[in-house]
Amino acid sequence: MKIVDKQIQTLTRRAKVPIAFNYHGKHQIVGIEDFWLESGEWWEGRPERAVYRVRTTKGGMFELYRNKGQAPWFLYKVYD
Amino acid sequence: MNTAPFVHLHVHSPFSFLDGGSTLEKLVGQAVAYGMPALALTDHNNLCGAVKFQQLAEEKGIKPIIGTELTLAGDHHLTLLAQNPTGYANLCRLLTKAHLNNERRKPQAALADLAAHSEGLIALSGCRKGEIPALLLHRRYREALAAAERYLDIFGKERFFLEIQADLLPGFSGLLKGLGELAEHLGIELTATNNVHFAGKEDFPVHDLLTCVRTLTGVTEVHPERRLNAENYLKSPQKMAQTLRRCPQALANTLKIAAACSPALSLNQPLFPLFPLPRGQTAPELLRHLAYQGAESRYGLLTQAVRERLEHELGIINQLGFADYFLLVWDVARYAKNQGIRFAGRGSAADSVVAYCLYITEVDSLARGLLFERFMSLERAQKPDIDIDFDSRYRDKVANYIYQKYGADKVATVCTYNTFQARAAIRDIGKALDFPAEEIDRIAKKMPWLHADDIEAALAKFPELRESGLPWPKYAQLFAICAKIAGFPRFIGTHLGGVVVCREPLTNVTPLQEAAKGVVVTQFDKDYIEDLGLVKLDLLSLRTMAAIDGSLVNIRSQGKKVDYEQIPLDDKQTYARINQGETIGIFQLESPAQRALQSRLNASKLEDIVASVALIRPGPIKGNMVEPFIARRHGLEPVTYLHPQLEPILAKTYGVVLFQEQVLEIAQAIAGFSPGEADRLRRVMSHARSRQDMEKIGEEFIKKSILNGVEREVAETIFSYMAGYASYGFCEAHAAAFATTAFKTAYLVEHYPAEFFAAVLSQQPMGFYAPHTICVELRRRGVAILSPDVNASGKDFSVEQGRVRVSLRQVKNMREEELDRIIAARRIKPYASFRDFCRRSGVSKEVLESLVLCGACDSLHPNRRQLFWAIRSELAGRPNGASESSGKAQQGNKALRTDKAPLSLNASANLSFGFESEEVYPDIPDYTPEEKLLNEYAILGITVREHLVSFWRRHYGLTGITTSRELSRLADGENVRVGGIVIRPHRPPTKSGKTVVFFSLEDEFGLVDVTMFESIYQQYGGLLFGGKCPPLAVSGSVQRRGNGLSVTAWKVEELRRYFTNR
Repeated sequence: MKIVDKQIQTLTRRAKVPIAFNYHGKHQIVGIEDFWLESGEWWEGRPERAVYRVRTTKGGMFELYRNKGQAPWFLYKVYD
Repeated sequence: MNTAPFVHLHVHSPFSFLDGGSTLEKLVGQAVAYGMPALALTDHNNLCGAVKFQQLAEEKGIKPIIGTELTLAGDHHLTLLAQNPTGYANLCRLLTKAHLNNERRKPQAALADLAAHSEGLIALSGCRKGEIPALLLHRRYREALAAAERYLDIFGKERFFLEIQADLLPGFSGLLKGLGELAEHLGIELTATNNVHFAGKEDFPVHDLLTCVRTLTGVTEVHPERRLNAENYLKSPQKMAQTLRRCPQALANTLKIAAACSPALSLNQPLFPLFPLPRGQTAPELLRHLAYQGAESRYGLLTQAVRERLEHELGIINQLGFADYFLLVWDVARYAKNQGIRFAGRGSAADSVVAYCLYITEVDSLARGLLFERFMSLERAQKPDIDIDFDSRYRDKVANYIYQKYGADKVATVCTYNTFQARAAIRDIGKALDFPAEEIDRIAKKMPWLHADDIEAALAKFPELRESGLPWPKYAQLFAICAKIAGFPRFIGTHLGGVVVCREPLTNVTPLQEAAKGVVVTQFDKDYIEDLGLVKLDLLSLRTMAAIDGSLVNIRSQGKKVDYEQIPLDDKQTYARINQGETIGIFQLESPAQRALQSRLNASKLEDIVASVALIRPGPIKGNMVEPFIARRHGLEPVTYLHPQLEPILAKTYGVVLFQEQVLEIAQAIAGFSPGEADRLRRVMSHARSRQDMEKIGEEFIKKSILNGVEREVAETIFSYMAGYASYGFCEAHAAAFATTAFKTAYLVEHYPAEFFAAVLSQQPMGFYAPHTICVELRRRGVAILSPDVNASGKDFSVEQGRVRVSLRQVKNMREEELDRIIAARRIKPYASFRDFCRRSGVSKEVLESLVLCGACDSLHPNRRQLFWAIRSELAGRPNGASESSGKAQQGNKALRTDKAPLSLNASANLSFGFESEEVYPDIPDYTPEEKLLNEYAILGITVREHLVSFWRRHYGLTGITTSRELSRLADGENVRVGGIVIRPHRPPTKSGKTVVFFSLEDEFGLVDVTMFESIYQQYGGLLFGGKCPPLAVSGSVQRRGNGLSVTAWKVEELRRYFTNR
């Protein structure tokens, strides 16, 4: 497992659910394994974030997140 | 509004104790706003919020479902909902077992108990701490299945549901899937909840910080109990449907479950105990017999008036069904009397002749013309509340009697909810927000007593806060959270006097749990207990009773005699002293306001004392009733009556409505109200009800007055007059009950000052003043104080030929067992030397140090410093080496080690000083007189030989400071500067809302009372409040009123500025 935490380009459906993203090449998402919300450091004014654990066509597992009210997506974690 | 398709069945309120972030009002309000037909309350392991929740829900028109989130063995959670009264009773029993069968604060219900008490309960599988969800999250499917089967065995398919939660936490989808499959496999149903811990997302920070407080975690730290997100709020049905869109049946099942729950909690049930009666006698019969028997003893001749009054009261008591309650209280009073335990009934119960005849109270309400309806009335039909003060030393013995008589399963102590006020909120939330401990401590100590939501407003209002130099804007977030948790319960405590006795086992009605010191308490406080239908008996602990008893023992020990019961209530010498305002130590009459009143009132009879007790209360002071009362009494203002019929009612208070009972009498005399109607009028007026209520009862009063032959204009004026005063009035019966004790203690102070004050000093803390002020008063009355002495002092303060000897218990760090050892050893033979004392008494090093430094060993060796340095060596020579100190005492004298000798304690340990075989002390000089005084003050809380101010005056001059004794020679209005130790600064409420500060300055001759008005307070208030107050010098002008005098301040400085010789 590797912590990346970098902004990435992501393609989403209308409900802002990710369907593909770029990280060293394009990754097509075939399944959302889990989804949750995190409040983060509210005391520092940080926004809530939506986290997706996704499986891609190449068999990889990734954790992507997006802060509430903000456009950019981030790749947080890559599973081995 | 359409009924919502969803009901929240798993909801936590602040009664989950640091695990609920929104008020019950807000939670219920939110559910109502969403159109939910019902709402459940499921706090952790308690039903504390049930009564309030039911009342709120019923008020708002939704169905309350009473439940709990129960912790089972293995720390598994299970959500339980009561379907009916049987289910409610089973919840009470289960919770009681979970609490009382386990360590305090770690309740756990056994599965067997759950099985035994499952009737009437619906179970949901719980949150992620529930056994089934926890196993599923760990992918232990077989065990999850087995667990589900166990619960299914207990509750059956109709009453057991797998609980899915819209929490959007990691694993949410997997858990949903797992629970769905399990439900399908077992053929049971799902239900949806949201494990609600706050009403809206905006309250998540409140909940998160309370979790930090509960888990002793800083906000930046990670803890498994802290929620990852803010989803556990009371979501709308739409939001729930959106989150759980794949489980529509689970949402629908919430309505099904709600429908299966009928009202479970019954309020206002007749639950008060049945008194064990002799065969063939009913409670009303026995009560009647005892009341008449007591009446014969009280009155001798049973006049028509006595008979009529007794019949009237007995009629109401019996009609309301409280004969058993009166018998219970009578029995308790009788027990105390038989045991020689001093007691006195207080409060409005003293309006009852029956209570007087049963020897529960000592106020003859018939002779005083007091109306029974102030205490009980058919119209009000409320439960009677009889409060009794017992000698503080034996109050628990009386409580034990009740436990034994009625059975431990039917008696419990009433709980209290310790709630968040400003200081506690700042400390707890400040710590959670990671503010440095010393910073939080500084802020909390500066705060006056405030509600936690008044902090922001207080910052500008109070000078000690405004001028503190603290960076208040930095704490804006802290204070905002404090405001949100204002009044939230922190933990369950024990009511000081409230004992509840139930007709049936209490666990049918309320869960019980253990509070501090092993006391078993109800989970409902005094108000909720009464709402349930239980009657609370207030067995109060009053140290004054113990002090009276102690003073009688002291008087007898001096070969004198006094019959307390026969103390003459017209003793002129006592009144003369009271009229000088010299009332320090006297029950109810010792505050500065009372002393000022007494010096002007010129009391000459007990009625004056009754009025005094009623006058110095926040209400009458705020209502500005004191001045007209005094002016009229002294003929400086005419005593007028709006109607001739008011004269007999108000004559005793010079036309002023002082007592609540007078409002009742006026309503009867002028408007022809029945006693019950009159009491209703009093309650509307005194409880500041709504304008509509006031107008309604006003119209009724005026209409009936006119019918009664009173002119409309007069009736209207009387009503407005009553309305103006009634909210400030005081219960006359209560004042009368206190006044007798007040006068009797005044008599003891006047005739036996040494004996009385010795007893008062032994019962500390009690009364208005600290021991050092009592000692000043003793000296002022010519009674010398003797040092504590290991050979002469007892456990308590004692009297030796008219002088008061300081007790050994007064010595800091002294433990009861050490006290016993000191006294036991000297009974065999007095201590001959310090070495002898060290060896035979076996006391700890810290106590030895205290004894030496406060002068208790002076009679063995006069040089305290030499003894102090010898302690370690002496302890080393003990045969058993018993020199180790107690844990608590170890910190004892750190503050006192100001010794300037060129030796450290460690160094002294290596020096024998050559007294291995005989006592030879190191050649070092004794402490200076100032060091001795300061040590005495620190260890005893008093100075024995000389007052600190006297010492400072002798040594440092204190130029320009007038003593309290010299003050009496000054004229009214004369400028003066006084100084001393500050006693009890306080800011009572005023009618104008402006702050007036009262405090006293103590010097070696007594007290100087100081008044400080708003503008001066705004300049100097910071010196008086917000932490330790230094000795002060006050410049001002002398105010003479009656026999009393005070100083009105216009400048305040630290006294040390006047240490001219230093």
